[in-house]
Amino acid sequence: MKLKTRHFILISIFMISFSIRIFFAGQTYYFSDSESYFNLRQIESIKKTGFPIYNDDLSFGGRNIIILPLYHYLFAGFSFIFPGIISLKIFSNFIASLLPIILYAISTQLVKKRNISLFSALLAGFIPIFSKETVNSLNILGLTIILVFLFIYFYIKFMREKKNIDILLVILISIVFTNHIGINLIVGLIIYIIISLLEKITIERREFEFIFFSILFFLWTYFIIFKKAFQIHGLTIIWQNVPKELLSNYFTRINLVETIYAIGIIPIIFGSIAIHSYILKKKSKSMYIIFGFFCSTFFSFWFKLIPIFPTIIFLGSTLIILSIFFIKEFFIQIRKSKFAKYEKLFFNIFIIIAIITSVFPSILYMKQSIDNSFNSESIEPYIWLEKNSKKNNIILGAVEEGNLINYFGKRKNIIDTNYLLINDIDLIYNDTKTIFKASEINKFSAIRNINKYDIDYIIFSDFAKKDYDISEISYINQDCFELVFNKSTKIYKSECELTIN
Amino acid sequence: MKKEKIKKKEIYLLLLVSIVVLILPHLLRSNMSSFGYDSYYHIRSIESIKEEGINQKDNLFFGLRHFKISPLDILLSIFPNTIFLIRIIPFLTGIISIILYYEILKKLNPKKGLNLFAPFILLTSPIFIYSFSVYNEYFFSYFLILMGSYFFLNEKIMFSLIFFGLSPLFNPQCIIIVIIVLAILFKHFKEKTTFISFVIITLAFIFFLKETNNSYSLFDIPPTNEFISDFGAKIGFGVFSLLLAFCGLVLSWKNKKKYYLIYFIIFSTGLVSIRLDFLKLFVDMILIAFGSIALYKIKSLNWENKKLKEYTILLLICGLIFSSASQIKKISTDPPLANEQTALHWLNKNSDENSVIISHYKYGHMIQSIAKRTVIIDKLYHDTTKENIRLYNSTDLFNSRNFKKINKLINIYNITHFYITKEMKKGLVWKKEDEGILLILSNGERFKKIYDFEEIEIYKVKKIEKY
Repeated sequence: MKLKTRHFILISIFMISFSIRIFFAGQTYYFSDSESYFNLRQIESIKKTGFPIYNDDLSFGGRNIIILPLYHYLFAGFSFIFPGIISLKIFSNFIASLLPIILYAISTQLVKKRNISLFSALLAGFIPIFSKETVNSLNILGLTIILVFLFIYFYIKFMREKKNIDILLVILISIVFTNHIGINLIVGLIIYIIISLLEKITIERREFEFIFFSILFFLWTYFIIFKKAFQIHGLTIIWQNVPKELLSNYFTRINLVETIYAIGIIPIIFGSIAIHSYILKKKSKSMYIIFGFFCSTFFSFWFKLIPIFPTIIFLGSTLIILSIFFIKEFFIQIRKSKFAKYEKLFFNIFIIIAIITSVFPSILYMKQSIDNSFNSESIEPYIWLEKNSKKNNIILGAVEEGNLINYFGKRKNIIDTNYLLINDIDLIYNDTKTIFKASEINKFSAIRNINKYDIDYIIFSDFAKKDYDISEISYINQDCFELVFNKSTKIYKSECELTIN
Repeated sequence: MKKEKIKKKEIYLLLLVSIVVLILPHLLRSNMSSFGYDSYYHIRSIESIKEEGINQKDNLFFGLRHFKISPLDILLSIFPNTIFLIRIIPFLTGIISIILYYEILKKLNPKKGLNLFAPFILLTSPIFIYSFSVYNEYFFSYFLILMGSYFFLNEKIMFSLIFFGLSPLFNPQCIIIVIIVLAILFKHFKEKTTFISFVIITLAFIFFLKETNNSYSLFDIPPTNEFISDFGAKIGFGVFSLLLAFCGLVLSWKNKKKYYLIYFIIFSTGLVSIRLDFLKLFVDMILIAFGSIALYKIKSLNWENKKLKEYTILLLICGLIFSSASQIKKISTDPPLANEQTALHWLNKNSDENSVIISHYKYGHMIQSIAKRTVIIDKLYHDTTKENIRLYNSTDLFNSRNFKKINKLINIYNITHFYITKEMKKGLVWKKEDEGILLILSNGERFKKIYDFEEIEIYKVKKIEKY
């Protein structure tokens, strides 16, 4: 195949996006979020033993973990060939940078206008929130989003021709074993069928067959993988056993203006117009697939089934695809009007707006992510713990610190962000909260909880200050708690015991 | 001639599979004890009839109570080896029930192939496996209802009425099922009776719900792990059979006029069955009939992609087997476990005959049966007594740290021993290690730990005239 100008432009968009990501990711050795260190532990375990950690001795003081392992196996495989954290960062960014190519492919299937497809690729290469969440972390979402849109691309092809069923099956299986959020895709396909039936659009039998099989496959696989979790949590497993108090904050850490900024103005405005003006008028099956996925993501967020950031990323990507319908229609109208001679000018204006509202915010977000990443100073307390505490010591930190205690400190934590399979999660969360927030008057309940969980050390860091809105642990005194590490983060050794006389 | 041969083959196959499925929980069980704590009440009941006849006082229950004798217990008391009988009777009736279900569906819908799927799906049903593996209150009534339906469809009305009439004797609640089944059968023979059937079923339901006097709202759905087997329910529907049933119901919508009554029955009994275990098997049997329609359709339809068709059927079969396999495993590891039996045998040998034991009510029948000691509360008391004063008292006792209150309650019931299991400490009664009376038991002077082996503890209460 001979490379044409559009291919060069597409490769350029990919390369620019990838290079900027690498530029930022390379500025620090550490990741920006603690979840990455959970994934890193899994990857390292696969490299060492061939399996992820299913029985984690460190998390929650020792527990079983349910994991969808494809992402970790893929990265472990890559890490075998190119070891080191930097190479993992490169691989992670490489995967995330594939999004513009896939959205370009979908766009060409939908509108057959190369320049509009390239425009969508530009937008996809710089979705601010996606850049922020994936530039400096081992985030499963990066691979998930690529697989989901790859699935949509091949499904549109499958819808039109009989081919591609084997590729679709492979992608479906990959999604199932990568991230449970992929179930949105199946819900999206069901919504697509419902809308098509309501609009009296014929759906091919092979589509029904494939969707029916996909539903069964998802159900069957997840019943096997999550069987234990279903038995413990019942249907509430869909909320991933997140503590009730966290659940409300878990999903609303961003306001409307931030949301617009995080997705980019063009996808939001053009995508919304496309939904409003064309969805039910156009009667296009391809559009209904995208819209079905948009709806399923939106409803999942509405019912607090998926957190805010994956929602915004999925919605942003679908809005980019939907916005091309508007752009295409816009230029058709322009060509018919007296402004026809300004067509190119309008297109260039769109590109400039895209650069201002998507590319620049994206870069700023990436910089912000790097600025907020962990550094040797913030990691120091956990490394201190590894060197100065006993192997079976139990450490209390804020929720987000749990993975850092496990990875850097190699010690047991009381709580971290992986809540599935934990009984009485609300009790544990409230107990730890009491330990941090208790006043001098009710210090006994805090000490009772410290005894209850056999806590040896308490880490008091910025995480705890922010999460519990405190500047110090008020009941701490030298009789009972020895200050063993005193920098911006403090570590107290607990020597208190409540006895009954 | 050929048809007869095929039918025979089908029945042999069905027999073989049902034997394998229903025998598996027994084969996988590591000890020879009966399944579940509740069956121990029947063991005692049967043995008491053998020894002292009907209408005996239950000597191992604190205060006055007579055995709640079931006709099946009387029937079984004729034969020796109670434990063997308790295990074999559900097994045998289960096998016959499957064949009857097959024959009934064949009569109701003679379409070839369709009826064969239903009994096989029923064999994978967690509810069916439980009902015909564990000796329970309702399995024999179901067996009789199936017999009644079979004879009714074969126009042997006298036999049919005898079986229908006998069924409520073994479980009075099953009368609602008899009424519904008769309404369905009448409607099958006379289409015009649909309205009358509606009215009869509605009235029966209203009367039934009033009589059972349940305090919960019908639409207050309990957590799924109480009625979906794959989510952990002891007696619950399988997810895949529900999925198939849903597909079957959607497919049947084309002939909705024919099925209005059935839809109504599924909806009404389905809602109630979430709370009442004995109704689940009935709802399951109807749903499975619809599930078989879906499976038949999937198999007989000409798919564009043959590979996908094979995968889909394979997934469905695996899903059904998955539910049944986990149910078989669950039943085979059903308590009482070896450590519980050891502890209770020890208690039998090392305690006075007049000892009074307090524990969680679910262990009551087992303590009576194995340790042969008196208990204050048991499952029967919990299920049947409306004024649950003893339950309140026992909860009070378990949660109290007030010596006065503890001594008062101990003296009221003459409690001599506390029987405490790991399960009680892990949420059944207490959540924390030193919660309530646990702290007093391990530190108080009035209690002495006399047994502590494999996570079972027995405390003896010291006799003090006035404390």
